[in-house]
Amino acid sequence: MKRLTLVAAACLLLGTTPVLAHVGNNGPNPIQFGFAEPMEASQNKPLVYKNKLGNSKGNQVIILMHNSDVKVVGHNSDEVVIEASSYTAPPARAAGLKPLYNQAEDNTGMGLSVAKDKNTLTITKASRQDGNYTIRVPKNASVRFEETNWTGGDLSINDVAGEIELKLNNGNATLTNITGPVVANATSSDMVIKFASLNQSKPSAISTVAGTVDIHLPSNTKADFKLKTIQGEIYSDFDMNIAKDSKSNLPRVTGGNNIEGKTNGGGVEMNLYTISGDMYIRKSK
Amino acid sequence: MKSDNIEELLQKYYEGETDLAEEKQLQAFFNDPAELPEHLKAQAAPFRYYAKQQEEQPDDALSDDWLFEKIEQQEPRAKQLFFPVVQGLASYWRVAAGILLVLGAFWVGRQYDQGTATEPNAELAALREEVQEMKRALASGASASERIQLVSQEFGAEQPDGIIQVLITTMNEDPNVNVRVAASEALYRFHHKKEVRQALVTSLRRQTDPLMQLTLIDMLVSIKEKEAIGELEDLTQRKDLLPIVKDKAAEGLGILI
Repeated sequence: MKRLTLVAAACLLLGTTPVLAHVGNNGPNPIQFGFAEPMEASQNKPLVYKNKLGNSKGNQVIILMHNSDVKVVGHNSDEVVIEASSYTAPPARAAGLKPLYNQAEDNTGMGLSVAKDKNTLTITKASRQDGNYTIRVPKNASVRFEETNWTGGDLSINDVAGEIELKLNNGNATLTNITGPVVANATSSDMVIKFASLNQSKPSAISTVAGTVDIHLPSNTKADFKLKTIQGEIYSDFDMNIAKDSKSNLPRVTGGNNIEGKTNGGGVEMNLYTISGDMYIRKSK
Repeated sequence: MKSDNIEELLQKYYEGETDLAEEKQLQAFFNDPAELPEHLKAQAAPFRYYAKQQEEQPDDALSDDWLFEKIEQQEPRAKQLFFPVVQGLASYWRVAAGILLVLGAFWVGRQYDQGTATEPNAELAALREEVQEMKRALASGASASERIQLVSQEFGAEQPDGIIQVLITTMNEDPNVNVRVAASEALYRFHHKKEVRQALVTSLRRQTDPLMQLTLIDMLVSIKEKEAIGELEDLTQRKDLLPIVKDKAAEGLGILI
């Protein structure tokens, strides 16, 4: 018992000493201490990280994220710019130590690890703390977002002209002003996807187990819809032109609950598949 | 010779019952005109005619003898004139000709086969190329949308097993559920093939995503694959499944059993 107290006391001493020292050095902004550049830290600006990537179709940004709200915005530049508006740095006493759960190396000073391999930039969450990031990507690059665990965090993607691939667990996603193709899979995320137009060259596929899928498309969109939901319902104001049974004049639903419909004469393939989630396919206003 | 005896003989002759000796007797009688009684003169003409015909030498051209003679004469000559050695080895030549004929038939057959097979060969080569391309594309970081496009393109009814293998691998191993679903739907079109049905059953065991599990259950039930029964029973017993998947498995069992 006596020994234990002694050890505890020693730890306390060791732990507090550097903290006190650093607080003393850095003044009013201890949160970003040790990671951000001193100038930014002192001006209390959001942290910014930049990395160059071409603004063409072959380029890809991969985001592996958890426990964070992420906003991805396409911009006309060949740089990837990451801004962290709320970021909790590791406690000061962890200085010089490595986290064991999250072993990705934080090389941006904002809890993210960024690695570049040829024309692919991979952004990985390097902290268990929650975060709030805005990632500006070259408009034409493709974006792949993966939610790596179940701690939640919402995603929004705006103004991206490249291909979008999502793998979500329970974080909700809102995609706005995109052209697709979108290949998304989620477990219980609600997805709202607003297409500015639908890329006709490659198929889109969106599936979720328990989430809602809400799709907005321009009313003149040409698409071949393949829809399937086990327990949910599909609502739409599009004329799907679903083949009708000649006898009963009821829409023909093929085996396995599949509904196949064409809008505006048909076009690129659009697969939607949910188990218990409802689907909304609406004309964008 | 008495004429009444002759008359009797004549009677017999006309009835066709006389023997050779009696016919000769008749002939001798009628050929001697001096002794002919008046009432039998009319009968004499045919007999005289027969006698005359017998004496005449038939024309050579009408006889077959010349032909037999010719054959008999030629045979020894032929043996000596045409390939005397060959004649001795005739049986060997026959065997050789037989072999030649068989080989010739093979050769012709092959020529014919190649002639007609060049077109399908080219098609097959193109398909192999396509399979290779697919494999490369699926393996080397094509985007999810591109992978869906690759697996859900139209394949002809008869495909080399290569494409089916690629589809099975994609269905089992692609990281994206949407691609896996698309691959299984592409495979479903080949469900008449035993290997495809087998692959769908084994895949059901591997898949952990409920979307994929439900897709496979639907497919196996709709093709009435009895081999899936064991797998479906396992699913209904498992504790780590989404209730709807269990329900669907139980529903499928009800249909299959």
